[in-house]
Amino acid sequence: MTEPVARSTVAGLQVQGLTVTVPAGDGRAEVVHDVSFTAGHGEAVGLVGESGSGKSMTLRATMALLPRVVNADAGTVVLDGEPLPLQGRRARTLRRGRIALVFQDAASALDPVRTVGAQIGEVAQHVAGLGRGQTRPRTLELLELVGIRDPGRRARSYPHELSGGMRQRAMLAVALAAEPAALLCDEPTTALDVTVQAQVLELIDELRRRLSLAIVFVSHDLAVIRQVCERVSVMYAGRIVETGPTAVVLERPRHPYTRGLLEAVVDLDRSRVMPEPIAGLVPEPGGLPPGCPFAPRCPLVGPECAEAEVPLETIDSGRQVACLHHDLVPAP
Amino acid sequence: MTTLAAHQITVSFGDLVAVDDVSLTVEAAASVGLVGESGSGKTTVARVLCGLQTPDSGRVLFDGQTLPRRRSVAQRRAVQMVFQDPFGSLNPRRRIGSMLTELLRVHGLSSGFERERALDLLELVGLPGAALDRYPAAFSGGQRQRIAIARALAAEPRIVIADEPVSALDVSVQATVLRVFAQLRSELDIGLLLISHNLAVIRVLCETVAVMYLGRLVETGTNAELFEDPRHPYTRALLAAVPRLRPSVVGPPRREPEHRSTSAVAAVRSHDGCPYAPVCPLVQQICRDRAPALAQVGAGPRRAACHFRDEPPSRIR
Repeated sequence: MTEPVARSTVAGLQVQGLTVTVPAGDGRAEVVHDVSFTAGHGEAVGLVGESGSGKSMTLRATMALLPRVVNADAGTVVLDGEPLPLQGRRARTLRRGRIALVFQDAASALDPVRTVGAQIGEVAQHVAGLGRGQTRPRTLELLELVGIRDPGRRARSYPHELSGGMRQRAMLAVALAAEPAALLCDEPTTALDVTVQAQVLELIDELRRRLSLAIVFVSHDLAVIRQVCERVSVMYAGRIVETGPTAVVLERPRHPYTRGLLEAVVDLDRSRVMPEPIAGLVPEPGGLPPGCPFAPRCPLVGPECAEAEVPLETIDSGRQVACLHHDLVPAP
Repeated sequence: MTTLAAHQITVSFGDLVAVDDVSLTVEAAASVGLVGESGSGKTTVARVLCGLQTPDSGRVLFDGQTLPRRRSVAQRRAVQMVFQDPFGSLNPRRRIGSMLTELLRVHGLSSGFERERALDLLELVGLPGAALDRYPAAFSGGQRQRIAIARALAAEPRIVIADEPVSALDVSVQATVLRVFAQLRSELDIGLLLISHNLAVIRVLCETVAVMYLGRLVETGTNAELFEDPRHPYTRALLAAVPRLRPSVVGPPRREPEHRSTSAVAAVRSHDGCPYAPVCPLVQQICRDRAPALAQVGAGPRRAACHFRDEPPSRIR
């Protein structure tokens, strides 16, 4: 066996300078602006933000699955050193079997009129290229891998016969049947009960380790991200405003928006402290203020914040913040 | 003192017993949290209390009097509900002002000053008067939920029942809505029944808490009792499953023995033993033989439906 030719030193999934636009009035508005992140093999990185932050659009652009009117205007997606086109049929073909996506609503991701086993088998055969004889054992192996008991029986089940947590596991099995290098997760546990969520999160973590998957995990839930991801990027108005090791970012936030989120969230461990809302509203795409997009809502705002775009700046061990006043952000 | 009480409520849908002998009381200016996962029956309890669902057996009492199946206008006004989805629950073609003033007339609260009253209602929930002339589409999720609260308040209720009122909202606006609920109690003496699967929301807002599992109450107590010293294994499993923002504060994750999901076992529920027995990590023979009643823990008044409710978890097994 010959060594594969190294085309780049970065292994895993790397997104650089991604910008995504939607039609707005006569022109186009940016919903994702200059977003970059890297997930190495066996590493989970989180994208966290509220609705409209651009986190799901970022994931869909990475997967080359943007809706028709939405454009990925700039940026590169590189998988194990190989640059992939941003959109079009070829972009999807090149991702097939190498990047998989799971999302919140497993019920609509699975085909309701075919058994779970048939759906896993189809991907194993046509995407991973297994022979007929290998498909059935592989299907059972995948069901077992995602923690479904009695795989022989469950392979014959239809999606509606499974509970919410089981469907989520089955969707993971279909995704993994392609033997992907990277797994993109879009709020995969948001619709689940808390006890089921805990089990699915544990499963995703186990799969990351066992299969050395590069995982990008999108969620609005800071605590879920804390549990699953080593590194996190906080998104606001289509931009990454703070990024770094999850524990560092969430315990000592240095962007006023990150801190605001942490103060606003209801937290089981801050026993009876009433959470603090963030004043103001998220700006509409196309209606962004000049300079820092968070400035109109920011408690630390100064006139300089509106003057120019505020770039991400490295401030300590692997952490970057896009704030002129990051040293004034009080501890939460 | 105003009280709304469910007394031994049971509701079935076909073969499914959605609510099984549940009793619950909400007093004026108090806040009660009802926690449970999907399928636990918590929403059905809310619908019975509001009069939207007739129980198979049991009664709903208001100020000690049994409410009839068809409630009077005054009885309906007294108990109002706020739903999860602030997008689906407002008529998109009615301006906020027209919606509120019509509601005042429906509730028999016409005074000739409906518009002024509508302004007061908006102020109560922290919205500007200009909102009166706008349509729901002009508002964000958090603002719509505040409008939904204003609509409930138009009836001058004594009790408000809120079913997952912040679950559909973004983190930064959840806090605003939670504050409005806290204010209803402190400023208007309204009693609040808050239904949620989100334990942190209950923790921050409710004085007493009830936990439901497969249609039954399995534990009730004060906020501190439930969250700091839970006595039912299901309550403990729920708390252990919540992802933590500051794992360093909590220490290493508490590893509760495995708990299987509700839906997976609903089908195999036996009629004799404890409904939690099939998934309970601490199950003993007595649990399979006999269902524990919701009984006092120690000297009470807190209660738990577990044969081992008086033993701290470390001593069981």
